[in-house]
Amino acid sequence: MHWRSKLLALAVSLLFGTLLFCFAQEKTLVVAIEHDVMTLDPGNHRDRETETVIRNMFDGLVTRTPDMEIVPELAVSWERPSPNEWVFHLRDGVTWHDGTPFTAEDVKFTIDRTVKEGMIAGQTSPRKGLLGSVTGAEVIDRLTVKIITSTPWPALISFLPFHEIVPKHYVEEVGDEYFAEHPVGTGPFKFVRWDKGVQVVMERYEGYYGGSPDIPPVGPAKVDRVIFRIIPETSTRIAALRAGEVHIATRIPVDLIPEIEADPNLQVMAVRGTRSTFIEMNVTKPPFDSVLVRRAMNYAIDVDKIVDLVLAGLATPIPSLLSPDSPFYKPLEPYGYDPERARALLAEAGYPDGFELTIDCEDYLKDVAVVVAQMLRQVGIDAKVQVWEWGVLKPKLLAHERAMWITDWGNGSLDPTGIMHPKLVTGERGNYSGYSSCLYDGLFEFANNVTLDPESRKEAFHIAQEVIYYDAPMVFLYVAQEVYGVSRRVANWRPSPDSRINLHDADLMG
Amino acid sequence: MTLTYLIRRLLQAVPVFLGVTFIVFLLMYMTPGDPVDLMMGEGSVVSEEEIEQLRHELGLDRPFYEQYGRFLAGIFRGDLGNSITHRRPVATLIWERLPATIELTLLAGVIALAVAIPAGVVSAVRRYSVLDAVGSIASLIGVSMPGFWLGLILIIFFSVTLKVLPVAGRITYGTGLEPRTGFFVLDAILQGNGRALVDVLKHLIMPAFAMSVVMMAMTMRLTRSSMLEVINQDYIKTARAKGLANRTVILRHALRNALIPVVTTVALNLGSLLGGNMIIESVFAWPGLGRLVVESVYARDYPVVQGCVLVYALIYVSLNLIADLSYAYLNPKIRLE
Repeated sequence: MHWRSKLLALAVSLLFGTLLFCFAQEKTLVVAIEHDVMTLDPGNHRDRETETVIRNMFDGLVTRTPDMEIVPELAVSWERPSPNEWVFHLRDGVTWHDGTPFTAEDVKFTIDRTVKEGMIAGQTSPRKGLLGSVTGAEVIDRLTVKIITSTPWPALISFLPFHEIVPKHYVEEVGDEYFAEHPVGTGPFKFVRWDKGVQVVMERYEGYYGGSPDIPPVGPAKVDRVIFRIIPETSTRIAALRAGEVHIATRIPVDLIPEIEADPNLQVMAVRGTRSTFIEMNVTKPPFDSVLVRRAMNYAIDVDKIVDLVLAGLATPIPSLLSPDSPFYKPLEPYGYDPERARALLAEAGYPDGFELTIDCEDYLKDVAVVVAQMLRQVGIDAKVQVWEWGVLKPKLLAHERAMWITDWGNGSLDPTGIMHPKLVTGERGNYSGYSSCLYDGLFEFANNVTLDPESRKEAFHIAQEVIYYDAPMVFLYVAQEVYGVSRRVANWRPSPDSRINLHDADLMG
Repeated sequence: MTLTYLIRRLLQAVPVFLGVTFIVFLLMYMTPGDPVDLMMGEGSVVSEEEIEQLRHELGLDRPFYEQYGRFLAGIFRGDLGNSITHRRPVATLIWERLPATIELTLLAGVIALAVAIPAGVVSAVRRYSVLDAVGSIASLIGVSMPGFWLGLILIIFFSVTLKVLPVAGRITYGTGLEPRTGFFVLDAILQGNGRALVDVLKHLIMPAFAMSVVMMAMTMRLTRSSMLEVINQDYIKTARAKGLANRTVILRHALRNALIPVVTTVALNLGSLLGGNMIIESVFAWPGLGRLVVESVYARDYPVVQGCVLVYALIYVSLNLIADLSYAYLNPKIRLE
């Protein structure tokens, strides 16, 4: 083409483009997330943002309501014919975004791909650990599939919402690498494009079966299009919200809430997350080898005040490790603030004049640590704070070289297996405090590998929470809320504790 | 002669690259933190054996010299390895991000020069005038202003208050642009897509300006002092004595000579712009290499960091070479040996 005609084409398309843009009246919901998705293959990542985006294009056997109740999605029901076998009956009439029917073959393919070694382009799925002792699956008929475990693993249902089913026929045809950038799912939205580092665009899938009947309304999505935009900088995310370019912005820090509240078009929405924050103590060495001293710490620290001062009230104090949203939560009365009792316990343990103490933490928990140090000084402990980079601190914790540190642990499944087990069972990977209790370990063994009765399992976890409550290997602090900035145009959406942003029901007004 | 010089310089670059790869590899190796540990996260049921298995698959359980050897051998095959978190080839990741960074840097350079050189000339010619004073103050502010802060101020003013420019990002969905070269301005022109071109430029202008400010201020100061030096030379006096118009004297005789040091520093400045744009890329959500590096450092994604640094080194060394060559080209008195 001659350059003049090119220029003309440019001018004409400019004009028509603008006109077209003015007449388009489609509903596009835009969500600002912090970083780009790692992949669009549900089986090949361990990343929160990636999970959030993928969940709008893929469904799982089960899902969770915004209240964290587990309900059927692609499965309609399930039973457990023997301790190591789970049979799932699948929903009929579900289609993949390319129109192919969904069957038990897809479920078997997904489970095998996740738990067997080297199944994704020669690599092992990093989500294997989220399927515990599952070893594989068998197809029984077109809509029935059996999942097999090597040990009885009752937590299976709690972990299944993390696993989206992928299409066997499509992955086998196009290969893992192509699939990771051009996904086909069974979810409410189908993939349109992924501009790396900029956005993931998806459109409503008209053939959607409607989603879980337990989460009404059932049917296709309300909005025509969803765009997940990547905006790493918090201030920029808020600016985009204020400019009306995005409708939901994630991860708003507490100190920037007023900026959103000041804008009449926006609102702040908060939800209790799934991450517990606590102070760990090295129970292998003095002074914290004494349970009296550890209880004294629990009395000396005013958790309510920390929540008010540092977190603007946006957190829930916890009496033990579990979040109150967990179905296994035991509502114990927290120790409460009682500095007199703390001093008395310290004296009883042989520390009437306190001791010197360094509280370790990462930078993001420094404000909490400073307040904690101040509170400990009130009961005669000469406490100071040291801020670390996690990569430096962790080896020292594992070697039991430090005395006290503030940290947190995420537990998306809300099952005790995801937090109480790795943090406090003897020798587990997250057990930095060196805590070891035969009773506690035995309760976990019983709950996860012995009993088949859900009530006994729950009871065992209740006792385990009491054990650590009295043994106090930690000062139990709080579960913080996660804060979102949301346009007032957004309807039928609220944030979920597991930080997923499911947009199936969401609508855009005005 | 120039050719032998070129070959010698290129050969000299080889040990520089080897040095860079070694230092980067060593630094990443010694940085505490384990990528597998960071990736596996919490709240799951992972045994130590499974973590070891993953470390083994990624080759992280090998001794330092073996890991480094594999990395070097990979480079010569054009293979930079696989990203640990993205689980894709590093070369692909870099290739996706590099055009965005280059596009932004080039525009920032153009803006910087378009403002700085005329301003520097005016400041020098009208020395001690009000214009000169304004220029001096502006350049002082420009050098001292944090890019992060300026970026946010621009966003709040032009996007939130006036709503004339997009807050961040690189392109709006729905312009119909098909990324081919990865340089969106070029893609839009090649596809004759005017709407996309306008959209891309609107996204580019704020981050490019925010990025250009420091270079603009420095280049302006340099142009001014270089001009002042040249204006007092005998040949300028001769030119004036011959009765040439002031305009001709300034532009043809003075500026051409004054620009020699400017051109060489510009090349180096572009190099540091490329490396120093991580903050601007974050503020404006620009999908460039800088952001990839920052994210990868946090995730301890060693292969990606190493690959990116290698690319930075390559660009920096090339720009350095171009600067030296252009110096000789502009000033015939200088001979390359």
